[in-house]
Amino acid sequence: MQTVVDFENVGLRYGAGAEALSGLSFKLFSGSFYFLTGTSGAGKTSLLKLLYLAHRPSRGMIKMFGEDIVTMPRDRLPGFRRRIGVVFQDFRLLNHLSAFDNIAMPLRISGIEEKDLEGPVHELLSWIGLADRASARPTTLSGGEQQRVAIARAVIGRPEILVADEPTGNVDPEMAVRLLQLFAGLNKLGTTVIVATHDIHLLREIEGAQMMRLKDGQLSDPTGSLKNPAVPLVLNV
Amino acid sequence: MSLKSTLARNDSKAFSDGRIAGPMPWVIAIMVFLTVLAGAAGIAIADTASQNNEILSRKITIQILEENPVERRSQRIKVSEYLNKLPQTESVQPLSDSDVVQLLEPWLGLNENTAFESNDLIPLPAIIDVQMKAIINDQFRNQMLSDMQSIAPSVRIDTQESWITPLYDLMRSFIYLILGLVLLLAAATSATVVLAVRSALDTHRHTLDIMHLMGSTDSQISRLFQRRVAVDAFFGGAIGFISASLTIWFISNRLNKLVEGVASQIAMPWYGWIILACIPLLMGLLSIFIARWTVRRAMRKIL
Repeated sequence: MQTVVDFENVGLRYGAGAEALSGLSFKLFSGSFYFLTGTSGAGKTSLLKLLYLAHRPSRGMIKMFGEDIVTMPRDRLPGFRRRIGVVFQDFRLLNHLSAFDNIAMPLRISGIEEKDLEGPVHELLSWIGLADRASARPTTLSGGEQQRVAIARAVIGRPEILVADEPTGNVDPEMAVRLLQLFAGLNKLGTTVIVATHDIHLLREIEGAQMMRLKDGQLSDPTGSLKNPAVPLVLNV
Repeated sequence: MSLKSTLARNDSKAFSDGRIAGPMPWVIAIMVFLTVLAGAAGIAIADTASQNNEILSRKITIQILEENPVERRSQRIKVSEYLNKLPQTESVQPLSDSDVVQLLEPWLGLNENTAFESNDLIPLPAIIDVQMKAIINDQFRNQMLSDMQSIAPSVRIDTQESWITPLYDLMRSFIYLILGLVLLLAAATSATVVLAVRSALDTHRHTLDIMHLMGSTDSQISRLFQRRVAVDAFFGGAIGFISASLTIWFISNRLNKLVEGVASQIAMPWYGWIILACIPLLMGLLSIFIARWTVRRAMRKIL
């Protein structure tokens, strides 16, 4: 399998404080599904920020899609960001836009024609059960509905990597399973999925998924609690 | 369809409002109003100066200060004949006695009925206006004076250059002052745009962060601001230009009512209106450029 993410001795420090992440070395492979677990403050969100290119590391080397993104000129980064879908923990929907326009935003940024984006957006709205709420503003949607819109926005562009921070935190168990199935469907199409979650039960819903556990900013070995951790793909070298 | 045009078409959906900041168009309107007025003054003065400078500098006035009126008239005819023969002369216009009386009336209180009676009491000079083909130098002037003195011993040559030069130096100073004012107004407009765009960047920070993480380029984001600044700047520019044009028209009418003097000749040439019409356009383009520069500078601070 092709390596899509390669971390080597990566550390992240905010300002002059202690390292939030320290000595991370691992590889993520194309078409794999990863769960990222850890207690609050373990560094999950910091790791995800490195993965969706919101920060550069304080030290170490990160390669994504085979290219060193640490030293990459910043004008090349938008092209890489378009290959990564992100579901934020706090959704980060744009409240002045409708659900439709929020979901369509990544396609518009990528320059997709209006006539070409209407079909996929409506299809995804139907899939997440919000076909009749296409014109609703996020402030009029429930927490669960907002989360589904945020997920739809992250996956609409068929990203090569999908990063989701607690994507099922605000939805009922049935919807959580449906959303995971959506992620799994994308994963089968070749998308590498990384889901940060506290919900240990979700780990059993995806066959073949791998687990990464963060503790005090460092990766620990996979627990082996997954159904089929045949090969420890996530390694703390 | 290019990325550029697609986002441009849809960028109205990116921000919650279509404008940068409420007062910005009005500040730009005031700046354009003042710049157009300053520009109009500069263009009108420069045009008047360039039109009159050469003509007046080539003009000389001959005075014959002969007391005896009969002798004076005779000398006037002879001097005029001499001047007409000179190849450097373009035109010679001897003023009649009545013309001289009319010319001096504001100062001496004469009129045509009393002038000739009082001519013996107040001797009036004979005056000849001469338009030369080129500005004469001191050597030629002395030669002319010497030649004319053999015909009219009391003859004097007054060149217009002596009083025109300081006047046009003053006009030139005004033009430089106006250019400085225009530059200051452009700088003030730029500063206004920078402040307005910074404020808008703060207002829309959340939206920009999301767009940035979805892969928006700096160009796409700056274009959103440029578009809004352009709308505000051209709207403000149009208001400022229309107001200034009405003011210029009003002032021109007042100037036209002045009877004499350089001030009455000050008028806006046709090409001046074209230059003035360019001011709101240039202000708009400057605002767009400043907005782009401000946004790109701010965006460079984030990854």
